[in-house]
Amino acid sequence: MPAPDPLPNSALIRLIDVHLKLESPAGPVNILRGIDLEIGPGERVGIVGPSGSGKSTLLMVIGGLERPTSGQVLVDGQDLARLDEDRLARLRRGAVGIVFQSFHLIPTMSALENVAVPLELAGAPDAFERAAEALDRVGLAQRLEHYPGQLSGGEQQRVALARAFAIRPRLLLADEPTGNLDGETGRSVMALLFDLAERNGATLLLVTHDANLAASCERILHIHDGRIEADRRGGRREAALA
Amino acid sequence: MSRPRAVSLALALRDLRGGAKRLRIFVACLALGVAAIAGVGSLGAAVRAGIAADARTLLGGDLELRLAHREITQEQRDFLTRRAELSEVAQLRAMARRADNAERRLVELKAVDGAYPLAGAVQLAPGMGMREALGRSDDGRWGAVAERALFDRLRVEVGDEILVGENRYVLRAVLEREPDRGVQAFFGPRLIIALESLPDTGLLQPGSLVYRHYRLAAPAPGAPEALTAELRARFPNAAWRVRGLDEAAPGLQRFVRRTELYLTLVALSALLVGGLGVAHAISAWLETRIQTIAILKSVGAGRGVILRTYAAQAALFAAVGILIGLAIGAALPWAAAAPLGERLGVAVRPTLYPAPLGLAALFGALTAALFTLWPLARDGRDPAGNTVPRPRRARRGAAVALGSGRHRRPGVGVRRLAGGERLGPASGGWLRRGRGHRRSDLPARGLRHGRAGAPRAAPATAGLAARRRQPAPPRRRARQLGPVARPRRDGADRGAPGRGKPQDGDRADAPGRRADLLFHRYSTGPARAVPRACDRLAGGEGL
Repeated sequence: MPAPDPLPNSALIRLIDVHLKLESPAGPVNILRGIDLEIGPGERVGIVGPSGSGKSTLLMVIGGLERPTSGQVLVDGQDLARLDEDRLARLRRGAVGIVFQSFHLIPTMSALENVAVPLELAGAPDAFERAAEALDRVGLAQRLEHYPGQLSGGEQQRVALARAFAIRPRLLLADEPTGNLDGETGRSVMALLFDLAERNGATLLLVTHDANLAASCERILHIHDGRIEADRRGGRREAALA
Repeated sequence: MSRPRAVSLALALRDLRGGAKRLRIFVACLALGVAAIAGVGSLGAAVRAGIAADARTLLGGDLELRLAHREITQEQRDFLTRRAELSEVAQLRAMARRADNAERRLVELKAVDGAYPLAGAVQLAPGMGMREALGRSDDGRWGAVAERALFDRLRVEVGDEILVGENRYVLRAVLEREPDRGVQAFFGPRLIIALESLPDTGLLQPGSLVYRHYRLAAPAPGAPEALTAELRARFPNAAWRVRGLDEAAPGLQRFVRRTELYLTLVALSALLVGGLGVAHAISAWLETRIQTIAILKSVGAGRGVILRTYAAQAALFAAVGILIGLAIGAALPWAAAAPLGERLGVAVRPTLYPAPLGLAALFGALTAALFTLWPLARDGRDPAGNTVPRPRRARRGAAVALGSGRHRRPGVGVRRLAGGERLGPASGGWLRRGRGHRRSDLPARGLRHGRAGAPRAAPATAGLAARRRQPAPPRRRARQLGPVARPRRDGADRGAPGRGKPQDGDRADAPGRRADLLFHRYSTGPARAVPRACDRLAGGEGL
């Protein structure tokens, strides 16, 4: 593996020899094979690689939704292995926003309520006002009371973006956020994603199959067969999003 | 209410907007058990209240002295008559025969004096007084009254003669209501004659089992207690048994108490068995909420929030079930008052009895708590990545809401939550998933009637159904899946049902859509369907 570029002094994310092995009737399957990684605050990192290479798993390990078999995962200075489920949840609602490919909005809640949930969980007294502002920022001020089923895919993903950014996270994890959207809508969602990340000063980890989207990040990780095959810096964001 | 609790309650109520059909079983189980306990308790209380209200009538006075085989002494009789109005009744079993000896029947013979009854009234048909019915006629024949059953058994009518022992009686009326009857283990129909005529029957022999009841009507309130104390002091060695109003109809009270206890145990058993239904219903309900739980956890909901949210829902539905049960149970005395009162000989008093209702509510709440908190608590403990559907074979029994830890495969949860189903060989999710999936993993399933729901391109499934009937290639081909065979279920998340054409943001990816739908159909079907789906996809069908 080529040597990575110099790392930031104070890493927001640090992975040390992270392995993830899963058992199957056919035998153990290694999903992650010794990931070492440091990501600094405010970095925008694209994660690319073939299907099944471990991109999404890596993202979920960083988000505390998956526990590694071995190795150390430090997010915002906290060793995730030492955190129980409640403290992981506290970390997520305080510092981590996650955007999924398939939106994962709660179908029984309106757009406003979906966005307000993390704020309510964080104990924000003005949860609904802030949720409304967040939806306004993603251009859905007129859709506050609509349910996910009444929104198009692009609108749902924008609601998901508003939800992720409503808590002003230091870390945003995006797993193929445009995977279910057409090209034009995908581009607008990505522009919004980058814009919100920049305005919030959030670190962005973006899993994508789209080389152009990945190129819009300042740093690109190539994952293959559970290993980081390449770690390149120097994206061309403006060109990619143009 | 504290803020976390308020948030949990708000989340619980919002989550219920999608409907809660599966919780109908939960409500029904609780309602049934609570209704049984409340009904039995209320009915018992109503009967006891009836006994208490009619205690004087049932006892036949304010105080009763009972002796077996013997009569009171003259000294005792004089003492009693000086202090209260006295009525004497003798009871024994005897054989009643038709005058021609052609029919006979064992009867509960009751010989009463002229003061009977001191309390209440005897109802005869045709209507007449007891003196007239039982007295000696001019021709020297004694009268008698009997229950209709004796008339039927001996095939006699009013006016006919019967023989009791060596004495002959004219049946002058049908006994329709006997005020002090209560519930006794009757071996035959009641026959009442005059006490004065009893010696003539020849039934009073040494050793005859004759019970003598001496009823006293106290002249003033409070007098029975004083009289009882005086009797005990004056005749400490008397063999009688003294009963006051609190022991009126002891047989009936004993019968009611035992029946109530037995039926309460039956009802409690029903409630506990219903608890299994409660646990199953909660488990099934939680399975439908797995997607929501996973989303809540991914946005930072801790164990406490999840537990409180779904405990609030369970409490809400438990309250509904308990209230329904209480309503049914409370109404039971009204429904059963007439038939039960007729059979017991007591005026059952239907009204609301808080004690049995409270007890039933308590049992219902305990059952609901016992059978819901466990699966709920387990759900709260599950890691976020595990809060996803598991293979059918991993589930163990009805009470297992979200599967046990050893059946959990973290990778499955993460991949589902992440929205990407991985069929490739390097994916732990599929390799560890085993077989079968639940429809509950469709995020849009929570809403009813079109707010959000099924995949939009439902018509395309018709063709897929036909394909499913084709023979499946060997399963091992699933492990050779390439990128083309990566069906995603994400199509289910997009758009509202009933919208026929793509909307803003939808990817016009027909093969991908077909793959999505194929995945869905197989993921929600029988356990072996998923590998077959993989096999077809590996073969490139429809892609």
